[in-house]
Amino acid sequence: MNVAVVDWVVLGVLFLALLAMAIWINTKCRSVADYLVSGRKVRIWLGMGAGIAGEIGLISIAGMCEQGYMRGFGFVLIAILSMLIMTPLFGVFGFGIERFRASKAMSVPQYIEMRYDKRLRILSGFFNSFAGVLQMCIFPIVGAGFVRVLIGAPEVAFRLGELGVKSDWIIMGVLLSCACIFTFLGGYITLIVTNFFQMIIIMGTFYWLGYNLISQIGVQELWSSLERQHGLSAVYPFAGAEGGYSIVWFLWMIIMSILLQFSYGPYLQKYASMDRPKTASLSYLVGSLFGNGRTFVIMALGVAALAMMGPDRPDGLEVTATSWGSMATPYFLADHVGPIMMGVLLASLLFSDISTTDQYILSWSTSIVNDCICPFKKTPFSPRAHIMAVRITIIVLCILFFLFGLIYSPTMPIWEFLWSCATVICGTGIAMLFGMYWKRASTAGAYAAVLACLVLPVSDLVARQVWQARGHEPKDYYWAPETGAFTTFMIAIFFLVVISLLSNRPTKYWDLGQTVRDMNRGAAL
Amino acid sequence: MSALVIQFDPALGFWSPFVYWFVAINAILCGLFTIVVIVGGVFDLRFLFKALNEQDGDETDDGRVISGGSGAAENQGV
Repeated sequence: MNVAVVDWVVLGVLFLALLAMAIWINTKCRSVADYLVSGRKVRIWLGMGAGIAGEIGLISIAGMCEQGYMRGFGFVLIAILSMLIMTPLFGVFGFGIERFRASKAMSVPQYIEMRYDKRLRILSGFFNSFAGVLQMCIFPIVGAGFVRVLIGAPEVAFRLGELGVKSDWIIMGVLLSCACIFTFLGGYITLIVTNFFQMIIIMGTFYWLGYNLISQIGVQELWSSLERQHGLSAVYPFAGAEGGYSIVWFLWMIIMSILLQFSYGPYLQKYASMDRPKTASLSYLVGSLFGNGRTFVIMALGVAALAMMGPDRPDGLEVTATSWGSMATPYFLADHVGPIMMGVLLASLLFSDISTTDQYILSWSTSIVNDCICPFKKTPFSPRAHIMAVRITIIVLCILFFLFGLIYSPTMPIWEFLWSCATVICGTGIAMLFGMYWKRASTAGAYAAVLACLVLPVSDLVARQVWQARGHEPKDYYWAPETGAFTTFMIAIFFLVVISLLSNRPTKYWDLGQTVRDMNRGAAL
Repeated sequence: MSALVIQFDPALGFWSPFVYWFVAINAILCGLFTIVVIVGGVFDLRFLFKALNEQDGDETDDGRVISGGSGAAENQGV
């Protein structure tokens, strides 16, 4: 293994310090609102600091490194174009996110019940939780694979009779146990505070690591190698290279990113925890203006791997061609990171996994309990029983993720899997968006949008499986996955608008814009 | 200094230097911004703990919708 005793000591000390902090913070948690949204007392800098750690998960590190290795910095122009649209929309105008905070809802489906009806809350809560949980299923196993290669552990750790116990499974168990402990203790309060400290360690490590590795390679060599290996597609995403980005892909990504701001549980739980609506948009504004840099630093590790190892998989490595893109960077890091630094890097990776997994798992557990269980209860849970229900759900989900990891075998790039699941969630985003801004958006129209975003992507996925089963190549299918998802959004919006226009029943719309102004003014006085 | 004097492949035209400088400047700005976030976050942590110690818990603020209809938000939480 590539890990010295001193590295384990560094990892252990940092972990125990954070654990002690989590145990202390647990004593501050007194109500359901404290546990689920930090009592709505999170201010801008703390929210942003915790948000940074929440966004840099182990799976996103693996994904960014994969993108850097396979596509260079082609993503940069996408990030700029995306920023030009998203930053004014959400950061300056607070489109939707300020209204959501003003609704005082804790989750998306709760707002759905307030604006439409209870049955749609249950339906959207179920669909969103299902897609979110399915999406999360690959987090632990992909992260475990990245860590295994980095520490140089063997693929099979030991044998139990006929069964070879994989190192990935053991690492996955450790990652899930850690995330479970931190989420269990104190909920969102613990999460916000520990994420903030984890952010300091994660950012410090990646900047130091990036500086160190690029110094070893040389900036000129790094850049020239990137230009040589990928040509124009390394810096221009629409160059038309195989595996490159396209205009339709960009349009789909932008629409999906906008809709997810209205529907993705972990994002909205963060907004719900802010002290006032303006804080939600301000944190988005500042975060989006300065957030790209950290993505680029992590991507640079993948580019450095490309410069040092080349684009082809070396002989003799136990890794498939499909997963080589995501495994190249940990192989490179394993060879170039020295003692002590390896311990700090491992701690950062562990913390990045904990900070993202606990935020997401708490969000989906909250949604399962609040939106899929509570609506069926005649008498509400006591605060103690409510928190216990969320905690039990957290444990059940962790067991589910572990079992999924045991049978998981990658068949598509990480990002594509994550985005496929996100398309289902976007149906609720359409219902939220129109519900907040359009008086005539009706319950029947919202049902149509939510169902269209479930039925169409699932049908597309099944049709693709049948296509492949008949011996055709996936790339020869009638349309690209992003075209299918983009069309789904358009059809869902069309259904919502037409059905709402045809419906004459009064809606439960209320002017959240006025509530936003009142809350922002009240907080300023 | 070597990071400031880079030779780009002329075949890639405008995009290679543009992306290089965009990445480099953003990485530096993000690093500086992180320091600001850390300092600001410490003050916000003090506020959070103070607020949590002072507030009274609202047992109805648990995600339930108390009444339907327009203005339902008035019944939700803090």
